[in-house]
Amino acid sequence: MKSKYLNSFAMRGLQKCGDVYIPGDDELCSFSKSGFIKYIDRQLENMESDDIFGLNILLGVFSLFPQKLLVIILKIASRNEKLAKSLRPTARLINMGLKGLSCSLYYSGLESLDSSHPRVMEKMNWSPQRLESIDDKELSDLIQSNDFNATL
Amino acid sequence: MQDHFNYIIVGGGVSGSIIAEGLVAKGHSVLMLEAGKFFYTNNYPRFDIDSNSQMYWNGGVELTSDAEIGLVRPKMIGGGSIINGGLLDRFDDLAFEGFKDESGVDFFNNLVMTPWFEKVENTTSIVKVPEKFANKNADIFREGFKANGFRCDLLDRGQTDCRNSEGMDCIECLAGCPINSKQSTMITYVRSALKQGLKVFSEFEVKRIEPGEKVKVHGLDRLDKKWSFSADKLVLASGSIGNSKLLMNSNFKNPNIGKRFYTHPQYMLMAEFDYNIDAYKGPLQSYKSNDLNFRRKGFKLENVFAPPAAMSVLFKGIQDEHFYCMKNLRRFASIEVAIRDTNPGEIRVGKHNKTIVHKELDSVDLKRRDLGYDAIKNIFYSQGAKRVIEGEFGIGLHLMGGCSIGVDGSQSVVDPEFKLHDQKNIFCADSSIFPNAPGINPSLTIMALSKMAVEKFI
Repeated sequence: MKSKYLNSFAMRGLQKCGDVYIPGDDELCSFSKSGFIKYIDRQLENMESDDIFGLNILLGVFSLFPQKLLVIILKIASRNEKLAKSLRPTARLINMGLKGLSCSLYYSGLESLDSSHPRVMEKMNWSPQRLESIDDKELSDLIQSNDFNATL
Repeated sequence: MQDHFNYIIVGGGVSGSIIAEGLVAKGHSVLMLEAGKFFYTNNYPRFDIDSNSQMYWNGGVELTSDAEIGLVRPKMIGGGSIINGGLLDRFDDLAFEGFKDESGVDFFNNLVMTPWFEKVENTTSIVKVPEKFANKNADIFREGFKANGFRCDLLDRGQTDCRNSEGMDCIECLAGCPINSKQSTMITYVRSALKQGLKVFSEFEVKRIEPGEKVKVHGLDRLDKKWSFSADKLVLASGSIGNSKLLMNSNFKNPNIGKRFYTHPQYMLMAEFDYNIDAYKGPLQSYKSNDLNFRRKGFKLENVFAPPAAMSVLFKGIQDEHFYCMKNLRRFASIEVAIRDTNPGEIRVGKHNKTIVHKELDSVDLKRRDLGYDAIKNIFYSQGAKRVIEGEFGIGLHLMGGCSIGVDGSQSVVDPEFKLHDQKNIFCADSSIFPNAPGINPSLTIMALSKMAVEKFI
């Protein structure tokens, strides 16, 4: 699986971290098994380049750690209120950043690669109804004629 | 392509939309520059991963420097009105008194502001959320209030007919209402402005402004091509962070820029029940606290929920502890406490134009939050909750201040005529001018102030 934004080490690190938050069970597949990582570029396409640089370093380092050590690190990061005040922001950043990345991929309603669990949200019976969108042709035409961006 | 206009508006959110419509209606040539895209019913994202990435700055959430609050900053034409809960409340006397005391600005009172609220209410359908569609999450809120002797009321929301009887679940509207019921400014103002000749440049990021007889605006389009435009007058409408950063990046020297930043930090508490709550059904929110005791103590409560991707970040823990909560999401109810924060934050620009926001809760703010937590826990446990979980972090949805209004130019950025103190032709009337936190949803007042600004001063 290749990404425009994350290198191969970082992708491996994200799979490992994702499994810490989403270990899976009989009903729902794990993060790595789901294959949701294939959508990572959709998630990162508007992130600032400094943040993507930081993610590559962090996840690249994490990719080298054994899973048990990663669990310990992320557990400490998630219990950050017990850490010294100076360490807390970094721990919170790691916890929320990595949890946010993996969980947003997993719980966004996308289709997984795992044929036995194609739709996670359906398995969870999370099924909000959405009526068909109105086709707003008038607005569409107005945007086409008034937005300079439409002429680029 | 035309490169000079009577007015340029930087930012196409709530304030920018209203000011644009007001100005084109008076026959002015107006260009609106907006960093985000045009989103409307034909192209609202369907998946959270896409809405987070495309509809907010920096791909979803920006954290404060201590990573305690996640700031949610919309990036699109229509701004927050596309993705918010649509709640529209007038300020009460307490909020206006706080504004007047801090700023010295006389028009901050209900007598002067009422006609401006009415003008907005005449163009925007505001109704009580229909009680007959209240879901179990809302029932728990209402009954828990009763059991504890608290007072609550139905929410006032900008909507026409959400068609809940046909099965529409309004949690879907957090990435844009597909049936145009929610009264975003795209529906109420931008459409009309476009019909009257408003020019827009979407996906255009303004990098710098140059003051002068004619204000120059420089920026980049989506292909990174440089553009410059000029105008007789400039209106800043890119919110607390956008306006502050733009002024700092343009070497404006007023030391008050970026100061007095408030967010109404919101903390969600989740309660697990023995049965399915299905908080996604029907109206996303139905009730708010309407309790003078809460108001005096500096917090308010609302029944609320969020899509699974957002909820997943709020649940604490890892592995099975976290996974259990997500698997059983249907069994959770949620209430948020929003505090009227007193300790101001500060917006700065870091290396590579990175947004840095220092914003901490002091002991007063923490006490307000904790009083809210106590009330929520009492509500949930009175309704049979098995346990209550505090959310992982605070959320800043109401970004206010940074270019505060005031009569004293040494203490503020914008004067009572909505003009930057040291400038002749640069104006601002969005939430960045708020001198402190009102403790009430700010949208309707931003709209009323923008109406007033365009009619009286700009």
